[in-house]
Amino acid sequence: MTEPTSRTATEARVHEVIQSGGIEVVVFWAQWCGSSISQLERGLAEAIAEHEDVGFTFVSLWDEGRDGAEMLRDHNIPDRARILAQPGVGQDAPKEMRRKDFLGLPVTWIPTTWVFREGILATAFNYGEVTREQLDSALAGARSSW
Amino acid sequence: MRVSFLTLLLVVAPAAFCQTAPAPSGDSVTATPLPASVETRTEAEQAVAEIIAQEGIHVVRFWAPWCHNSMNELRAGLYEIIDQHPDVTFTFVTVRNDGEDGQSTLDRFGIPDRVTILAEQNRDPLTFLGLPITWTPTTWIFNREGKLAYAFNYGEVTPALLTQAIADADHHWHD
Repeated sequence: MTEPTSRTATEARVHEVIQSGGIEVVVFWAQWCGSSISQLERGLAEAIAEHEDVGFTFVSLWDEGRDGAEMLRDHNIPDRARILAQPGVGQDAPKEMRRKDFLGLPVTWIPTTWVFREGILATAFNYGEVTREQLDSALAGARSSW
Repeated sequence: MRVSFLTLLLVVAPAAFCQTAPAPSGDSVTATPLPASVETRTEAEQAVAEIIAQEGIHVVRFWAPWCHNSMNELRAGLYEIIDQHPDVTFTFVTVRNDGEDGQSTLDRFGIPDRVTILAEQNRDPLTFLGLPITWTPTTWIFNREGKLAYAFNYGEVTPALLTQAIADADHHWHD
């Protein structure tokens, strides 16, 4: 799998966000990635608007540190969503040069979507595209005290 | 009386809430060791590593017979999902269960023989192949020769959610 690497400022920021309590969604994506864009078009903006109690953070990956803010705004992602970029190689670099972990957890595909509850990973969608229904279901599960 | 009350408490307490892991410290996520090296793997980790390395889709479920949420998943008809997916492997690993594999409970709920049944030793904090297990039950789905596709690390996985995740893991998404 992956080798340990030191934590970037972006990871430190996300760590701070998820530890702040409540439910936090972290979306890893890139503006050059068809599946990431497709996921953006499947109701993410509406989900952010509706789930006012949930924090959302977009982390651009494998795009030479570009954050893709303009494209997120073009897809109506509300201003309250945090927009970050993980430094690293871009789309054209060999895939083996991509960093495939974040905060010690594997990220082998984009889009990857994680739902944290009180700083603990509740659900990880690490492959494919997450639908609005799947995200809603994961948020409902994270909200529940079981 | 005191002793029996304590005994009762010990029996009842874990079933009341399945999250037996202590509340994590501020660094719980980053303190998680990355995937365990081959030398330090437990027997259960080694067995699962070999299963998920194969081509195909592999469901690994961590559970315990004393855990209410784990039993709810079984009651909801997990055996049906297994029967409906003959091409998918299913592995049940007991955690926080003193190394007992829970075979008789699984038999009672109709879990078929083809399922691999394992037991993980008690460890705290509990990680498995370098990934954190903070809640019982936890269900992971692997594809692409050992890569983690989906992780349901909290609550209960419904049959619908599990079926959807297996289908998505099998889908050839545009890379």
